[in-house]
Amino acid sequence: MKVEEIRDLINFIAQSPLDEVNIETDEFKINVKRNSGVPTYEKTAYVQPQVQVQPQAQVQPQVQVQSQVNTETPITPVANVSNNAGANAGNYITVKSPMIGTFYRSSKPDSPLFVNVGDEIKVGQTLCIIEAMKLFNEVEAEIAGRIVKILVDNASPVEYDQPLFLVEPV
Amino acid sequence: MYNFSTLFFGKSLIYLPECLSTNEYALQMLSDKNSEKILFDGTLIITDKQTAGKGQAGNTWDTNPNENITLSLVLKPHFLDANEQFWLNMVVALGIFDFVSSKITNNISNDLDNDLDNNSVKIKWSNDIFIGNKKLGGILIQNILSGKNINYSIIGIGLNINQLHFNIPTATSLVLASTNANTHTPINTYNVRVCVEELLSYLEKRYLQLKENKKALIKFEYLQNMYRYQEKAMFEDIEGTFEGEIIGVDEIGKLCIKKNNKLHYYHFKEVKFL
Repeated sequence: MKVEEIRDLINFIAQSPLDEVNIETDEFKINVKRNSGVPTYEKTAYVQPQVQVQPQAQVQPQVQVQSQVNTETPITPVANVSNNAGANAGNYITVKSPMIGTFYRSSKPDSPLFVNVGDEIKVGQTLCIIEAMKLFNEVEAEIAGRIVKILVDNASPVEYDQPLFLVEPV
Repeated sequence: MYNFSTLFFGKSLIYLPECLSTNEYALQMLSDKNSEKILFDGTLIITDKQTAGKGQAGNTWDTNPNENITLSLVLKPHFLDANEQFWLNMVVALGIFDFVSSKITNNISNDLDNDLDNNSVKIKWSNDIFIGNKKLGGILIQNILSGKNINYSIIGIGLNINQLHFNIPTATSLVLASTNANTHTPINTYNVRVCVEELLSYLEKRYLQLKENKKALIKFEYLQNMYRYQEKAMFEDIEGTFEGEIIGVDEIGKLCIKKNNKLHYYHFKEVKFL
């Protein structure tokens, strides 16, 4: 059974009114159980079932897959840029990290910085590099504007969705 | 000049007699709206003489002209999210592995006197190709992201083919690895052009597997052919040297090593193979 199939199955179960489901095949035992006793199947109810997948024939012994699945539409933003509704952020737009990695403000240590605070940026302009596992990623601007703040120090680790830049759109 | 039996890899080709780095050339083309237009999915940028090849983390990749493969492929893996990019690394490593394996087994099959360990083709995490304990080639992937999407992926590959002498003792070439263990004579000189054609076929096959979402197969084969996978070996991390065993890689490509019966996940450069 593929991970995608398991995910589909869990999503299907999550949308059903059942509180607990056990499925057993030759390959897998899956146990899906809801955390909250809140009545489900309401659009407003936020349900987070805990999912444990325990493959019996493991390619990688001693690795347990544990994941949390939201039953609601994923909260992950579709685009990398989202409006920051923070109190002092005003109408600024936050550029977020699309991946886990290390944040670099120039292509090499002695090269000029891609952007500085106050710089005007164009769509498609390189803002930074994020490196992970020797894969190097140039992050391009999706909007035109002016860099208001750089939220991460050079050569520091960044998480998925971590805010990197504040941009004032023009 | 080339005759590719691929669907789209190499169908568009930019040949440079000499250049600093094919990856750098591709990046420069992509930074210009007009030249970006002619970089189709699968475009091959290839040179006979790379003078400033890029290795890992700013290291250089030195290569004799005309003897080796130095190329970049421009891909548009729009079916992958940025945080899934380690899959690109796995399929490229596997494509090169397939190509090298086809050469090595063709030449030394049935030669029981050959020391298997010295000639086994392996993928060294995260993206080097080894024969025995020596490096045959490497991969440098540079992506251009827009939002959470990978707009372009530039796949740089350096693979030693006919070079006989290296400045560093840990490097090898296909010809050196194909040397007959008994007579110590090189088996042949490879036709680099044919090697490129074959390599691209293997790479495309693996890339299409990823596009078809055959991730379980890709990960299984990546691990099965990984250098020191599930072997007790010495490593070094921030706490010092230790004996450990590679158990796998996680979703973003971190190496999972069992150390003192606990699993540790390492980013590149956080662990050293000894």
